[in-house]
Amino acid sequence: MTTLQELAMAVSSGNRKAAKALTIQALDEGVSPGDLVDLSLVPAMAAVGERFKNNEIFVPEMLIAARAMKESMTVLEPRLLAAGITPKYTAVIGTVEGDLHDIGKNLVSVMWKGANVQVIDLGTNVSSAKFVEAIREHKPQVVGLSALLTTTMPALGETVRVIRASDAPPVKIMIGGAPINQHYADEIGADGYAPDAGTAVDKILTLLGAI
Amino acid sequence: MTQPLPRYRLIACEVMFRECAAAMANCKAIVDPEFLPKGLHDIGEAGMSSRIQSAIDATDPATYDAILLAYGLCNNGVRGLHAMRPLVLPRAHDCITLLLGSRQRYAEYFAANPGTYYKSPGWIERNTDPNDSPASIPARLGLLRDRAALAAQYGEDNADFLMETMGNWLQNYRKLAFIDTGVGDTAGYLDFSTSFARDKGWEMERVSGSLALIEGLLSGDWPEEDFLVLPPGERIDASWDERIVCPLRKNPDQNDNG
Repeated sequence: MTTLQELAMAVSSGNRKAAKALTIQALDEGVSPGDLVDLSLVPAMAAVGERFKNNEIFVPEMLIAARAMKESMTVLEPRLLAAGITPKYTAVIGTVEGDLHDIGKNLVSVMWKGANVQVIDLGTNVSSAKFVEAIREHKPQVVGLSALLTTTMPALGETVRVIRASDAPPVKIMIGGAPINQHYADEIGADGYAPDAGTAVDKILTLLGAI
Repeated sequence: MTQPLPRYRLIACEVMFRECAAAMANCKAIVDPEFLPKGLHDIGEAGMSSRIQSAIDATDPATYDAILLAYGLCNNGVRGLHAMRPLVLPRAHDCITLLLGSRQRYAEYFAANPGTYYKSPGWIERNTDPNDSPASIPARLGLLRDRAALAAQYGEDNADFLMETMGNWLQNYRKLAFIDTGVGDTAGYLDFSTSFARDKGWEMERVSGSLALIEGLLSGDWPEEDFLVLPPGERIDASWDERIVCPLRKNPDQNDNG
């Protein structure tokens, strides 16, 4: 097994100590930091997302895998920065106005980072005006909107409407949350919907045309 | 007796047991209730609707003038329900509307008080531990395990991290609203609410509830504004607007939830 394969194994099984050690080892062996991300970390997290979608693993396993990847990234980030390598894509994410439930949003955020998307997390109870402001500032390719309650679902539609009507740069909009389905996403004019954090990765990559 | 009273089958969430019982005692109808366990909104749309549909299907259509549902949209758990008699459902997102007496009142309170955790007599005295229900979605996702279980499975170091990340679903709440519907042991509920809020470092507010919506449901007083009266054979859907629920408009074979 190569060091990159071992690193992928360490990440997907959530072994952060091994992930760090193998990252340093791979760098010592001359692997570039960019290749480390693209050929080991991202595929490892993609496998984790796949297993989560198939109910083979659950939220804790997904989170500790993401934590192991973060450990590796801590080693890599200064080198990536020095080499001028930044994530190709940016996403802005938040729960809509009135909704303070953020576990789902946090999981999607973790998995998008796992796919090497830079994620700007606006937190909870985010007004449509704040989303528009963040789109102007960060120029993301994708915005993710989340709502847990049917009570706050109208804020999803309202936020989509305000973003589309604004003069902010054009952006793809993804929505998610327990009561959401594809039918509702179509009705409010969102570009995508995902029922879980694993599928949210497939969906963002499809929207980015990156698959 | 001058005129026979209407006879209704009530299918209700047990979280409103006392409120329904109080309203039943005085309503101008004969009501035969069936209470289903609370927390069905946690088992997913298909699981919840199949439980309620079974109760509807077990109702003899010849005996009843209508079937009443003491439910809200409840995480879409009433979508798709249908009956051979008129099916009556308050226009409500969840039981908080039924306990406060109107959806306008809930909307106003909700908007003015983000991060509020609601309690009511039923939510206090019938408060079961979600870990007891392996069918609940949070349990199935692994979100409800305690620290000891996480440490045993993922090690001490990960257990702290996981508790911090997932064990914290209440972290954005700031307030407990006790909805006093005037039934049961009010002093006891207030003691409970006060100490629950104190433990979490939240503010506690006693909010006056109202049985008006439940009384209207049980008495056959169903203005279009507040109730969906679904004709036999049609199905309930979410309207995604201020009506909250409506008859299903699309092909019923369409399954778009996934």
